Parts: sequence; structure tokens; C-alpha cells
Amino acid sequence: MNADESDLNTLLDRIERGETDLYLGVVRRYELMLRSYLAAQLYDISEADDLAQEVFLAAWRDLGSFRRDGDFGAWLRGIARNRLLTHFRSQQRRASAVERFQAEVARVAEEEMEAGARHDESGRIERLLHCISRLPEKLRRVVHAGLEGARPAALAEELQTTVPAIYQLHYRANQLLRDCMTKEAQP
Amino acid sequence: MNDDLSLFLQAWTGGAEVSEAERQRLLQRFETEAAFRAECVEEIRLLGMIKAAQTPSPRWLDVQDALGLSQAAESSAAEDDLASRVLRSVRSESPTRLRTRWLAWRPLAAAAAVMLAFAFWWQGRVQVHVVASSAPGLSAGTSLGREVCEIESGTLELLTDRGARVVIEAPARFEFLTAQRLRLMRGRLSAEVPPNAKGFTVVTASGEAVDLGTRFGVDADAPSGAEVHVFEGEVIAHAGQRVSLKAGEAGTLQKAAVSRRDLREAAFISPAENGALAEGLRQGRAAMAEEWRTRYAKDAALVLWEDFEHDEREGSFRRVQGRWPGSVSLEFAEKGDFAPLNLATEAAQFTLLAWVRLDRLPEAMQSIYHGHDYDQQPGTVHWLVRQNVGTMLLPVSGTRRLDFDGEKERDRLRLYPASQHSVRGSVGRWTLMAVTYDSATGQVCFYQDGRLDNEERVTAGVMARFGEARLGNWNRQDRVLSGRLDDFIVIRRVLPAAEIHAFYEATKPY
Repeated sequence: MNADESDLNTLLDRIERGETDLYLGVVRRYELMLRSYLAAQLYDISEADDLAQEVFLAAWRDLGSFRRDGDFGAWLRGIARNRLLTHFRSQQRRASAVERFQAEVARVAEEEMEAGARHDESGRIERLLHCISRLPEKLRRVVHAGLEGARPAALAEELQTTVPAIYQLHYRANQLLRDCMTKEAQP
Repeated sequence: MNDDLSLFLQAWTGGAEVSEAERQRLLQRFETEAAFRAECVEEIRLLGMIKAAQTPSPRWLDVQDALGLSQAAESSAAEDDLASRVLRSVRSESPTRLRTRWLAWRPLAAAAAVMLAFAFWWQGRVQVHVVASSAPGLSAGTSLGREVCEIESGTLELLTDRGARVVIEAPARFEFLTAQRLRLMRGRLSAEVPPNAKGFTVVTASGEAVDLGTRFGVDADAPSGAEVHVFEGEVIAHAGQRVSLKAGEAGTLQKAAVSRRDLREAAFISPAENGALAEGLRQGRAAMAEEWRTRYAKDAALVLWEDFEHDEREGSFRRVQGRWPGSVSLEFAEKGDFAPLNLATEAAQFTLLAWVRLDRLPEAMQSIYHGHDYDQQPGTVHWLVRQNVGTMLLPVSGTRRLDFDGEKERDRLRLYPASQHSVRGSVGRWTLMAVTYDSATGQVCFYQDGRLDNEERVTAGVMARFGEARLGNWNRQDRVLSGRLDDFIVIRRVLPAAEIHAFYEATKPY
């Protein structure tokens, strides 16, 4: 068991003994990972955050069922997958084309998503913020703006280019971000 | 990026129209081709991570409720109105699903008590993210809590949990009292405040500024009291009285009153410029500029390279950050500001170069360099930016433009050589202004950012004189530069265009 897991088990022990406020520390520790995982399947961050809260609440109520030799992050993601399924099913009739597409992608890529999230060690997401700040200005603007709804079209107009070009720029930015995060992770 | 990956991302993000037939085809490919699926998953995982990293964490109100965080806390006189401010803030915001589910069934009185408890609990839970930093000791990706922070050089770009984006320029001393209240004890900042962070407040020693959306700046070090400059939206300036400042307005907080003043939007570094400065730093631009300084130090024609780093001169100006973190520039902002200079030399040829960051183009001339006794001493040099028009002028006493026709010309300032283009486009960013003078030929050349802008001919044969002079103003005080001056250089020869261009490329900060 590594230091982080030992530290988490100590936290869980204290929570079970009545120091319930400490659960917020658990939330803080895993919120970025969980929000990223959900946003990678919904993209809409407010929907992702609503589901993340449901996951944290469900985990709180069911904390006693978590096996102490298990991976807490994986356990949370398991709860998240169930919530996602419920979310997609409840939307089925009134879902937009985008939402139906996302639901199908999430269904097909469930294993790949979990495999990818399992390898996201702590600090990777923190490094991402630093790497975003180092992007060239044009790429940073595209990354800051995001790709949902009318944003690509608005940005394309501002930069006097096309919507596919905005996606191309974001793809280029993603390549630079991955390189940067890999370099930053090296001792 | 291949076409199908691009289409896939467009369909997945919803940022572009993709036909149903194409969606089905992409899903088919996604399901059956592992390599394509892996490529798409890699992209959407990173998109999700970016989304989560850039969006502040929500307030987990339902989790708080489930944990039963409802104990009342002790209150103090200073925090009596905190609950009402919190409640006003909650009521004024668009309800989100997180908040409405919680508030839907509780009576307002009980809600107020819980919000008060939550607000007091929340005070100890300040978490502000460092998005970008050129300040030593504070790197991007770290977080600040409720602590006093001091930076002596560089800039910090911070993102609060509610999405307010703040750029703080050193030297500065500050503390986030809560996620929505920032105490600025020293330094200046600019803030971009989204609707979710409405009510973001900057507290200074002489008053506070409450933002009602969306962009404003605060200078805590201004001599007459903290200044609030509103670029967009509205800010309530509070100092004894409450004054609404709207876009384009500025005020000085003077403990018992708020007095109006001129807006200086470009005096504040925005997040966009901060990013460009950080990129320039990362590219090693400060070191490149230093190399050129070392090179010119060996040039026998160099009269002066003033970077103001170890400057002890008297005058009326503020020392603020220059083009690089830790560098110094002189800021001239008020009517009487100036810095004295006496080179006590003459030159048959000269080049003047200056890195300047103008705040605005007012309805008055702005003086970069202004020699005294213009009317008594031939060859006295003035280097100016003309009011309203914003072109550079170089009057040298005893000379005039050869093609100036005094009888036909109504604009008397056409007597002097001028640049062709205005420096207006350079307001709010560092720009290199340069001018050359050759008394043998009467040729005067103007440069902006390393590019030759205009060439004029004046009366030949007048030796230039650099005696007692002022930087940033003239001796009648009403030609204040209104901006920053970094690296003022005087060389006793005419630099060719190629050399000025190379100088610009090597010493620019962006």
C-alpha cells in the first residue's frame, strides 16, 4: 500500500468514527479526477458537475461498502458509470443528436475510458493548467473558449477562419499539451 | 488531424452540424476500428480534462447538507452583513440545478442560518488557482488559500472558484479573505469577472471596489488613494460614499469620498497580455535583450542606455515593472510627473530609442524627451507624441522641414518632421519608438517597432544639443507621457534601418 492509500484509509477510518466533516477532504481530493472523467463523456461541465455531486453523495451513503484494499478512484468511477447510464437512459426520448452520440460513444468506449482514467496519476491535471498557460496565444484562446455550442463559430469569425480550422487548432493544442505534460512529469 | 477524427469531435462536442448519416457512419467506425476508437478516446479524454481544469469546482451544497454542516458560528461586527451579502449574491445569480434542489423546500429563515454557517465555513476554504506566473516562488498549477502573498517581481494570473480571473502585477501584497473578497495591500491588478462571480470585491486601505460585471482594474499604490478603473460593466466604488463607476470611468478612493479621474485602462496588464509576456519570457527574450545591451556597451558611440534599474534620480514618477519580471520602468501618470536628465553633450548625428507603454492618447502633447531652453539654444531636441493624432514629432530648434510652406500651411506643427502613422495602435502594449537625425544631410527617420515609418528632410547643419532636459514631460508640466518608459537609449550615430529592426527583434518582450 502506498503513502496516499494509507493516508486515505486513515481519513476513511476517522470519517467512520464520526468526523464526518473530513469527507469534504475526500471530495477535494477526487473532484478533479471525477469531473474530468464525467466531462470526457458529457462535455457539458454543468451536467458533469451535477452527476459528480450525485456520485459523491452516493459514495458517502455507501462508504462502508468500499473495500479498503481497493482503488477508491476506480470505485468512484464505477458509481459514476452507473449514474451515467441512468442519465443517458432518462434522456433517451428527449435527447438531442449530440447527446445521443455522446451516449453511444460512452457505451462503446467504457473500457477504454476506465483504462485511461486509471493511468491518470495525481498531478497530471494540475500540470495541464501550467501547460495551457504556456501555449501560444492563438491556441490558448481556442482552448479557453472550448468547442461546444456556438463557440467554435464565434471564434472562427473572430479569427477570420473556418470552424473546421478551429477544431484543427484545438487538435494541435492538444498535441502540444500532451508533450508538455509528459515533459513536466519527468524528474 | 484526419477528416473523420475532426468530424467525430464536431459531432461529439456539438460545435458544428454533422448529418445523421455521418454520425451513424462515424459510430460504426468507432465501434469496429480499435485504432480509430483509441484516437478519438484520447482526444475526448483530454477535452474533458481541459474542461474540468479550466472550470472552477462547484460548491458541493448537497454534500454539505448530507454531512449536516449546520452549526452556527460566532459572528463579529465586521461580518454582520456577510450573511445578507451571501444571500443577495445567491438570489442575484441564475439558479443552477445544484442550488435550486437544495433551496426549493427550505424556509428562507432556515436557509439564511445555514448559508451563514456555510459562509463562515467557506471562509476557511479559500482556494484560488495559479493559472500563469512569472513571479518567482509561485508556479502555475499551484493553489493559494487564505494567506498573505507577496511578489516582488513578475505577474500572477489567478482563477477563483467562481471563475473570476485576476492578473496581479508586482510588486504586490495581497490576501484572498474569501473566494469573493481580495485584499490588495500593495500593487495593481486587473480582473475579469463572469456573472457567476458577480460581487467580487477588491479591498484596499482607502476603500473597496465591488464588481457588478465584468472588467476593471485597481491600483493600490496610486499616490492620492487607491484607484479603480472600469473597462467594461459597472463597479461600485465604496469609500465613505458609494459611487457607481461605469465602463470608461475611473475614480480615486480617498477614505471619505470617491473622486472621479481619467481612465487609464492600458495601465493594467490584462490576462491576454500576461500570456504573451509569459511566452516571451519562456522564449528567453530577457536574456536576448541583455546580450544586445552588452554589445552596445562596447560601442563608442553609445551616450546612454538607461534601464532605470539602479536609478537614483529625483523627479516625480513611479517605479513599476518594466518589460521583464524584476525589471524597472518609470511610470508617468499625473500632470506634473517627470524625470530629469542632463547628458551634457552634442551630436552631429544621433539615434534615440525608447521602449514605451502608453496608457492612452490624451488631448495634450506627450513628451518622451524634452530639452530645456529650446528657444535660446539651437539644436535643442524635443521628442514628442502629438495630441489626438498620435504621430511622433522631432523638433530640433533651429531646423524646420524643408517642404514646409509657412504661407499655405495652416497646421503649424507641420513645421517639424513627423512620423506618418499614429502610435495609437500601440496603446496598452510595449512598443519600440525610435528616431534618427543627421545634421549633415538634414535627414530625420522615424521607426515604430523596428519598421521605418517615415523619412523627412529638415534644415541641415544644426548640431544637436543634449543639455538639461526632462523625460516624460516638459518644464511646463502639461505634456506628461501617460505611460511607462523602459530602456531609454541615446547613440551618437545614425543606426541603419536593418540595425534598428534587429534591435527591435532582439529586445521585444512578446
